[in-house]
Amino acid sequence: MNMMLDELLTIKGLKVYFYTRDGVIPAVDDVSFHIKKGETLGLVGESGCGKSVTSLSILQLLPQPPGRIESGEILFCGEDLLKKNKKEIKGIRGNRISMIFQEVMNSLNPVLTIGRQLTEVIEVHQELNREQATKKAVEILNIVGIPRPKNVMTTYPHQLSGGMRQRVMIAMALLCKPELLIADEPTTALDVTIQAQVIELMKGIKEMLGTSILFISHDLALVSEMAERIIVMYAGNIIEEAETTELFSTPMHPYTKGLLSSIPTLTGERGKLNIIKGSVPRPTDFPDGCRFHPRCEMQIKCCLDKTPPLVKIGKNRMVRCWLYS
Amino acid sequence: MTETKNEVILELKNFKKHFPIQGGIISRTIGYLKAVDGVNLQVQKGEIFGIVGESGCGKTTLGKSLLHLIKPTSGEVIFKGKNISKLSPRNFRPFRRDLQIIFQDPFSSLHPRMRIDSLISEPLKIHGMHNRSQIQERVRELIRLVGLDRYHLRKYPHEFSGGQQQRIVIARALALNPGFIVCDEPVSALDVSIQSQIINLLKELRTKLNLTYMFISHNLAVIRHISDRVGVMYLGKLVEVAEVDEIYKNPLHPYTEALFSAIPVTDPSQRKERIILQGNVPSPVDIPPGCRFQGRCKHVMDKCRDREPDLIECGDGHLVRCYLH
Amino acid sequence: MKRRKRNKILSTYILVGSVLVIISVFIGLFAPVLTQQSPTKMFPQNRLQPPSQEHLLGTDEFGRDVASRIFYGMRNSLQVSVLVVLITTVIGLLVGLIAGFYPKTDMVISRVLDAMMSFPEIIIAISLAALWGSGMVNIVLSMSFAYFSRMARVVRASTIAVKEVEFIDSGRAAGASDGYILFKYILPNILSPIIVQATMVFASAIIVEATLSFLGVGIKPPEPSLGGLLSDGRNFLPVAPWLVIAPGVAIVIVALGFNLQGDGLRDLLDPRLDE
Repeated sequence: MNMMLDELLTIKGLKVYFYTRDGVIPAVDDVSFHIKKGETLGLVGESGCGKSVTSLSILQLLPQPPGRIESGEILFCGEDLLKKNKKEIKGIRGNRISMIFQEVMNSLNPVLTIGRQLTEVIEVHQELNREQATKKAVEILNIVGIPRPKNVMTTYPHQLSGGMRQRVMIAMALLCKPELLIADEPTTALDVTIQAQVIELMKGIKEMLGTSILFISHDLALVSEMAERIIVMYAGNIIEEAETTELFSTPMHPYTKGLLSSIPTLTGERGKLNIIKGSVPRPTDFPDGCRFHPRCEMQIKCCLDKTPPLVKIGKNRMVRCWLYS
Repeated sequence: MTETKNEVILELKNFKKHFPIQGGIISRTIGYLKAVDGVNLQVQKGEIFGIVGESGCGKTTLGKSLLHLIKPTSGEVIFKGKNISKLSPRNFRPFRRDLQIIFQDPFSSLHPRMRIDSLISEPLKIHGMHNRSQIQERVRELIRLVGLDRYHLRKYPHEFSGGQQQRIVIARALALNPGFIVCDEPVSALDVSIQSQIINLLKELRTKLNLTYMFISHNLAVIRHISDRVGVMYLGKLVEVAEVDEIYKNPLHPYTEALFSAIPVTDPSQRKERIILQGNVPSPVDIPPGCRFQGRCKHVMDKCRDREPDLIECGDGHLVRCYLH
Repeated sequence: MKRRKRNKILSTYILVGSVLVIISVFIGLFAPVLTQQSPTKMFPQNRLQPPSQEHLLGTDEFGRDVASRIFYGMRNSLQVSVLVVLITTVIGLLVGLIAGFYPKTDMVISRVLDAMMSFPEIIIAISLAALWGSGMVNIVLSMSFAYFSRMARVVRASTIAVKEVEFIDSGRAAGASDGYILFKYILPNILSPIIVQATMVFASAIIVEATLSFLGVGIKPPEPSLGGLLSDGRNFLPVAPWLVIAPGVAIVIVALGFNLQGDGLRDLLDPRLDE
């Protein structure tokens, strides 16, 4: 896989293990993918699949210990982020790469006004005085659709609703016009009608600023609206990668197929839902061989003890399954 | 669905739950949070009545107050012909055999220090069953009903996955042979690939054991798959009620329309123009006079601000609370 | 790195504390076996003898064997503290559970507890001891009165937290009565903070009892008490320093032991509570 010139972020062979009292957890086990400039990549998976750990590793936000980045490279514009020291990575956070999270209340400082938190970001990364920074902050609040931004500058996080806080988070993330935005379950905690507002906002921002987005969620339908390409993760591995339309029209991995056919939808038949038997394995007890095999309807002999490799099937299509190797 | 109307097992007449808000040094009551503000509905025996709405609409409060886990403020609850809303705790107790509830988070619904067999047999013992072999037989029957094994009985809740824990919760709820179960977001906390298992199980049990459900959720797709009839709640009142196919095909209330259009859809060809609601979900503390939805409604008229519309029938069991109809 | 080091320090605390506690308890329990000498029999002709083979820690101004007085003194101190912890825990539990479970009663109970907690335990204990007189029963009562509000507070806070978890509603829905829920649902799930608080009450009680006895309002002479020994020994410091050193060291061993154990236990259990 040659590194193409328009690849903004390239993750190669990332392995992140957690060392706990209950044993070693291979949370992220040899994950490689890339994001192009201006592209939105969806990262989809359920609990324990490793999607959040992957995203935290990019900006060195993992608690180490108990986590440890065992190996791998995270290349951002050609430079390995994992090799950067504290000062360098701080210069990138909030500036060239920004991140927004699910629990906004935990991400905003409850004792500082919104205005102060925004101007703080600007002052750290750009050489502007307080007045200029305030002006920029008001501008960005406007862009994210917050009514009466000048008033909001003097409010505290707890005075705003969930949707507004998430908009503030997005505003903060966009202040320095980052090249990459990492969004980790940004709308999961929001009501459906508010989620729709925020998603429309993010789509608008995408068009306006051309930011690349790594959109992480467990909600396949939501990701399908935002992303051009999707990566499906299961138990620490990437098990399928495809362009969005292709993933939904012709899913290849049995897990993807099972997921798509078992999720209740607004259209389609109302009868008995398909199921994926069993449950998501505990990170301390990943099965041998293919990690999905105990739940797989189509398992064959070699699935039990040999882990299938991730193979390329056609342009932009990857699957990790013995049925295709 | 059925030509002959089944008997009504549960009826709510102007059901209200208001929470007093304390304020000031002497903690006087300075206002009321009107979580449930006048709900009228009838649930037929054997049906699954879905209640859908966003945060603050009062659906969870409705479920809990039905079972006297929260004391109702006013209104009538007629269960199998008997008025149970104003009963004292002692007089209500016998009804607990017939009215049960399942909550959202299965782990916090189970006493962490009780073994599974004790958890399932506890309701039996509380209601006077003492014969050990009878109890043991019943517990075994129940654990099989929910798809688990006898060897699970000696374990503790934390040893199970979320989906299995929810099965245990269901087994416990079924112990006393109830006729009516309130399901409060029973699959929202579970992994996506497990949700369909539990939904199928609940449907199966409804048929096998002749149960009636009030199924509460914010997830419209799940509601669509399990409900026979659906009620949409907004700020403490029902704004639309209809049979499930009818309401999803033909939503009449502007809120219902917006709600349905807010859901992400995987198939791009099925995506329609999205209705984005302005503003936030309002607070149940300051409910304006007139229609509750006036602040966010595209079609708001003068009379919407004067008097609240009634819930009226618009053809074949389809009820709407809106002046447009 | 930090967590491992911290756990190491904590387990040292607990280890050292436990060793000291075991020594003290052993002495207290087996005092009659450990020394054949009577702690109260006076032999005036042997007064103020320095430590010797016959009297390992010497004799006091009345010729009594200091070692046996220390052992029995330890025993009495521990007895008092155990009783105080028991009574405090039982009353604190009842009050705390009710306050936490019934918010209407809480309005009154909380105010009362707040008022009581504004006084340091020692002051309350001393005042009550002065009022009711000295003697074991009285000081147990006065100290229990001083301490139960702290236990009640901890129980109340834990009850309020656990009360909101869904399995409580599950119990109610199954038809459980309030009492059943309080004792079978809530109590087993708030044991951690109660145990920690009990250990801390114990550690504090040791010192308070010694203080009361030192001031003369504690255990009634001629029953030996560590504080009393310390107080009596003061007068003879230049002549017979062992009369002060011995009880002083004994107090330190017991108090330090329980304090270390309590601190270590509290810090070790706290993060687990968060987990």
